[in-house]
Amino acid sequence: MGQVGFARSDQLVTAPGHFALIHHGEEELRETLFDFLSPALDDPMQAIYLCGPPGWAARLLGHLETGVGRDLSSLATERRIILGQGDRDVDQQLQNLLDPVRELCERGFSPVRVAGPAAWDVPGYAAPEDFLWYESRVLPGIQGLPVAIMCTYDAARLPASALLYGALETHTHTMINGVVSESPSFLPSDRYLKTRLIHLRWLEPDSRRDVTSAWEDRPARGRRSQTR
Amino acid sequence: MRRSPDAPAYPIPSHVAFLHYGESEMRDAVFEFLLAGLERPNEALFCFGEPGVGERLLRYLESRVGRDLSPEYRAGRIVLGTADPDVDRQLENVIAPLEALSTSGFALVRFVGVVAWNVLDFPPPEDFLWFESKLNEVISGFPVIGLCPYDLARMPARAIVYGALETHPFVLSDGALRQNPQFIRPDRYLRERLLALPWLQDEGRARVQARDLRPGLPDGSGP
Repeated sequence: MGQVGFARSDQLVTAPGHFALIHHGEEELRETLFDFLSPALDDPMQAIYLCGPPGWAARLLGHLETGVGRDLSSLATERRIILGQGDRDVDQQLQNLLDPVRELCERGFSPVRVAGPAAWDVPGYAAPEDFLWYESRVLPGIQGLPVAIMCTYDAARLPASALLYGALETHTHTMINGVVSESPSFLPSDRYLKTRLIHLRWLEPDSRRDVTSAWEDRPARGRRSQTR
Repeated sequence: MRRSPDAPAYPIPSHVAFLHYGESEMRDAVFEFLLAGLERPNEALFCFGEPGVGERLLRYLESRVGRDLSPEYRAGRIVLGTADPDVDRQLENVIAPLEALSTSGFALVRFVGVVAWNVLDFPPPEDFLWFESKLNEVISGFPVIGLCPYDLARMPARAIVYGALETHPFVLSDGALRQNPQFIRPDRYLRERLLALPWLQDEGRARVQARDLRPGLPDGSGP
């Protein structure tokens, strides 16, 4: 198990590793993306995979380019930076993550740094309960690989349930206000599926929904996967 | 009425954020918590929240134990407290009963403070966060377990990050009590977090932009 450092701070995460950045708004996201990803740009042995809902990978790349002050399209052309995207089918979404990450590892890159924002209940993306399943399967999927994955959770946009069931319970570590710490709420994948995912309160028939708005901004709900 | 055998073992004193989804999960856990105190005559119960919340918790407790608890209320063993939009008054509404219960000789006070966010009759979020952080200092002087339910179905995520996670040394979720590594001590929380809350900075920037966009008004000439 290796350790992966940041550009501006002395924080470390492990590889393989899967941690949740809990941030507030785009500015903090941009700064932390630079902090986490820019060391890979100076080291030809490292690579980057960016993902998220449609359009987000390019947006993250734009943030990184702004941070480093240069065009990174040549790295994308040689596939040292790969742009991917999520899918409303979470099996496909997991494959969209694991295939390019394994490709980069097979080409000898180490570590591979991955960043992607969490989305919740948005059109064209996995339904929340499917997305949570995906999050819980990420760490088993990268076992043995030199990969550090940062999932970004925007506290200004997401509902509180995304934070507990997603950020805290499916990631071994969190990063809040620049500090990486262990997540004591983390549940290993099998336990998460058995004890949490099939008992999500909002899926239970008697649960209250929309008591008051849990959203800071509320888009239309996406369709739940029919295959899960 | 039996309690669950694997009820969390709360340290004394302690300040615990309880993350739950919806009212039924909250009621079940709060009932367990309060019932443990009701069964021990040397413990007191203190229910706190928006106007009417304390009363509703008491009615619920009565319905679950199947008896009238007004004798305990009249005797001062059960106290109902009310939030206040003025956070200093709200803090006083907590401290004064804790002092009274402590003076009365109760070995433990079980305090339930039901959290609300950005609603009338409750302090504004940034004041409430100060209150939550300050409670750590207050609680350290009393034999009290403070349980603060945060409803994931009602709260925005920022309430969980800045409130539940950063101002409570312990978090209870899904029946498990855990030490909370994200907790920030009150002096540091005030300096590093409360004075730089991002949504206040966003609002400040928006105000400046709005002022700059207003035609014909020099700086500082607004109402």
